[in-house]
Amino acid sequence: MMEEFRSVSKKPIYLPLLTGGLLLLGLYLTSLYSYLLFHSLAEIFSIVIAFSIFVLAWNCRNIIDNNYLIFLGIAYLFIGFIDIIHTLSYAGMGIFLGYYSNLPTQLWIVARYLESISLLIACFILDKRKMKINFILLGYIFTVSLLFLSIFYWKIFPSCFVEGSGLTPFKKISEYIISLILAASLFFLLKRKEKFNRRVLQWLVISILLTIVSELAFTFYISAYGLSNLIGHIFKIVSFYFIYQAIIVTGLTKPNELLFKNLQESEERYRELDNMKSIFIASMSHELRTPLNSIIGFTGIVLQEIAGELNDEQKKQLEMSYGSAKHLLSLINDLLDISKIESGELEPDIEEFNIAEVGIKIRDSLMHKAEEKGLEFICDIPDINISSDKRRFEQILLNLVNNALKFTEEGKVEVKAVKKDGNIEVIVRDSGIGIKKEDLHKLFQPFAQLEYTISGEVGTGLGLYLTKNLAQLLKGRIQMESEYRKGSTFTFILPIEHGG
Amino acid sequence: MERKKILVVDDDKKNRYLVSFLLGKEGFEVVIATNGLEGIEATKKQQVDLIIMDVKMPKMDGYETTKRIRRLKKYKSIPIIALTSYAMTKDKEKAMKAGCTGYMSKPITPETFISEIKKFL
Repeated sequence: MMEEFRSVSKKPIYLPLLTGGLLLLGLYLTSLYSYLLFHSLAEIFSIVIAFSIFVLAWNCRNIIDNNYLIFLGIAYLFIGFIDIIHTLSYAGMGIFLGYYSNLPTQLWIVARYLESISLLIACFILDKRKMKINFILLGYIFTVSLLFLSIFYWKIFPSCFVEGSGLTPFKKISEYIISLILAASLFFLLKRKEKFNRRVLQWLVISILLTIVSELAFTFYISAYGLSNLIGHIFKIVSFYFIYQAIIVTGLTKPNELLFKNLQESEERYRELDNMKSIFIASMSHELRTPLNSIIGFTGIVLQEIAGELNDEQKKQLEMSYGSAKHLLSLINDLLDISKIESGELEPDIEEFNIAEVGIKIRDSLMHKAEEKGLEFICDIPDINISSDKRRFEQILLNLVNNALKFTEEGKVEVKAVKKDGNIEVIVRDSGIGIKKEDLHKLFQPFAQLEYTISGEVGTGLGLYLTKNLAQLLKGRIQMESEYRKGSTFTFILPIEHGG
Repeated sequence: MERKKILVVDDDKKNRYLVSFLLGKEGFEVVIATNGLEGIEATKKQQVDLIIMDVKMPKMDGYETTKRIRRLKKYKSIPIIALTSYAMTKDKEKAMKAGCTGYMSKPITPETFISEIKKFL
């Protein structure tokens, strides 16, 4: 997946630059036609981005461990809202009557204070462990409500624009203060630069710098429609474009890079641990198998009476010992298989073989188990050639049939196979104890054991889990149906042509 | 009929004993080597008819030892059986690439070991 994204970023840089340039030119031309239109469009652009940041951050608030983003998201919800009112309050809009140019300027100042202070606070929120989102939301609602009341109701908010003389000292000084706050937020942001993905940090820094320029441009304008005002808005648009890149584009296309390196780091750590686990299991299983080689080997030799004759009792006890050793070996092998599957290392060894042969082998090796329990055992697999991993195919069937025999006390176990839609379906049906509906989902999970299994029948809990994974390795799957106390049917489906 | 000589190269004492015992009972003459270097020395000192090569050995593993033995003129086509662990596909391929004639996975099944070996002679 990483490869795809890299090729996208190799696209020529002049393309977005050209588009951006043209759009800005278009916007400038609209300003010549109608400044009101230009202003509305410019603000709409940044409002949309502000709300998008909120939407992204809000939806990720429980998924991503990222205080900075979530805090900014909430902040931008309110900043965007204030900017909407600011846009609507422009004299020509005809919505807020009797306020002239003072109101939009006041709202602008409120929004910029809110933005700069939020950016500053966000740097410190980064250090906190847990952030109470509702708390912050309430804080913003409270603050913004107070500000709105002070502007519209109490009318105590300082004037920002006086008709005839232009910007008030309060407004100009505020812009400088805002620029200072922004510079401070930049400083503290850079101080914490290890916590950010390099590219994201670059976008953020550029954005804040441009905002500072924009604010400074706004200290100059005389009329709400002058050139300085135009430049200020253009810089605001471009700065929001960079926030868009930093947060939204990264959040959607490369979410693991989003602002917090620790998400990346925890992914890397996870991968490291997983790797270590696989190496550990692989080396342990080799260590465990070495003494088993001796046990199985020598017990086998003595049982064959190559090293001398045995009496019946000796033979019996040795057989039990031999059986245990073989069991232990299969457990270790299962464990190794599972760890290999989980780390994606297991590869199927594909060859053409006849499934009837496998059927006969299974029937011959398990017939005695059925006879011991007095069960009817039918294993009738037709003569079909398939291309798959013979050993794993046998392993899967062996596990399914073994289970069937293990959990059936009376009745029969039947194994059949049919060709269907380019697949082979092997059906293992038993009249055993079955599985309750509510336990079905546990079945294929590792180490899950069911309490009502026949006492004395112990498994590792790994068998079906491994079987399911092996089936997937062969591009197949296992289906099961069961009725408690009536029996179960396991169906193993796999393609006739592995490569097909 | 002259007895066939089989060289067993394995760093594990118990495994050497196991294999030698089985082969001895079957009438083969067994030559022992406890590591790769000893194995190569043994092939130079006498001509053997089959080599059983343990794959995992310290210092010089079975693959390297096999490659070096194959360089000797007398051993270009002598059967060399690799003893691999749990017959991983990769082990199998590595063994074949190194020049082994065949492979057997550990642990060896005593019942079938002799008949498998005889197939290669």
